[in-house]
Amino acid sequence: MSLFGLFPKKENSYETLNQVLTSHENVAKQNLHDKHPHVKPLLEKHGVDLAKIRHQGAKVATTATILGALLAFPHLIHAPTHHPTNPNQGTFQTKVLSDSNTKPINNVAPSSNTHNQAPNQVASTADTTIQNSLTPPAKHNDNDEDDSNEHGHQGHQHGRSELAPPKEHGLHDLGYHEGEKRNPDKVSAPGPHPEKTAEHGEGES
Amino acid sequence: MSVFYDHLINLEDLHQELLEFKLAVGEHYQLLQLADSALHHEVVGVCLDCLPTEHHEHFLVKFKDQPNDPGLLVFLKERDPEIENKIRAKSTEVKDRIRKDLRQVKAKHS
Repeated sequence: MSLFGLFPKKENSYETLNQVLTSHENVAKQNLHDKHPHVKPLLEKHGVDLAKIRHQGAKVATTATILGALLAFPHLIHAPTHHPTNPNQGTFQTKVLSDSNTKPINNVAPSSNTHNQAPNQVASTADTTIQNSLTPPAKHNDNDEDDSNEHGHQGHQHGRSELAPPKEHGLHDLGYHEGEKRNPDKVSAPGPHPEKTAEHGEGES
Repeated sequence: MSVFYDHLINLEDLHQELLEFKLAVGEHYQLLQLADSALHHEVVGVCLDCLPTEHHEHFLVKFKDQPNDPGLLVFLKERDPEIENKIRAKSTEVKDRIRKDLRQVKAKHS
């Protein structure tokens, strides 16, 4: 059984109505351009589409409203605040922004849970890159600093961008754990083979 | 978004006429937009008729930027005090033509 016969009346009436009204629209356009032939270039010049004049007007009004609201209430776009929970980071970012005399590009307010927001910040690559050009990489703890200084890594490291804030303490990716320094000398040498240990034990006894 | 002559053209009767076809909401408003577009072109033609050619560009730009600005109607009325009646008459003429065709389609599909 064909599905085309399920709603024949509705589909046909819409198609017919569409054709009828489109022809009315075309006639109206033709009348306008016949009566005022100089209007067509003017409409093209200024990008005026009379068919969408309501939408164009709505766009302008909406844009103006949003811009006005953002100017009036800058905290809506998370503008830098003067009360950062992490005093070091907040002071540094505010200082850099005021020194460079530029509009804040990445307006994420510094907070103590920055480490937990890593996935969101990695997603906004452009913002991070731009912010990185304005500010040096943020120091999160001594372990991170030691790690980057030792190896001088650039770009991606172990599948994560160095530009992205570290995870909980920045060493999970490297197989280390919190409080543990990355120091090769600290790694204990493998012990003697169990068989040798057993032989040695037997010889002694 | 309204336009400055919305109170002179009344789309409500076309809206009611289209409702009788029991179309999907998207289809309904797409058709209503086509009728609206036809009305816009005819009414803008009437507005330009009453303005000198050198004012046409200024009027169109203003209309694009602020289609609901009542100052546009004031501006037109300074040139032609009868502009409201002309817009009303033109919209009635266009709507009558459209309504006539809609009724033909309805008779054909009923």
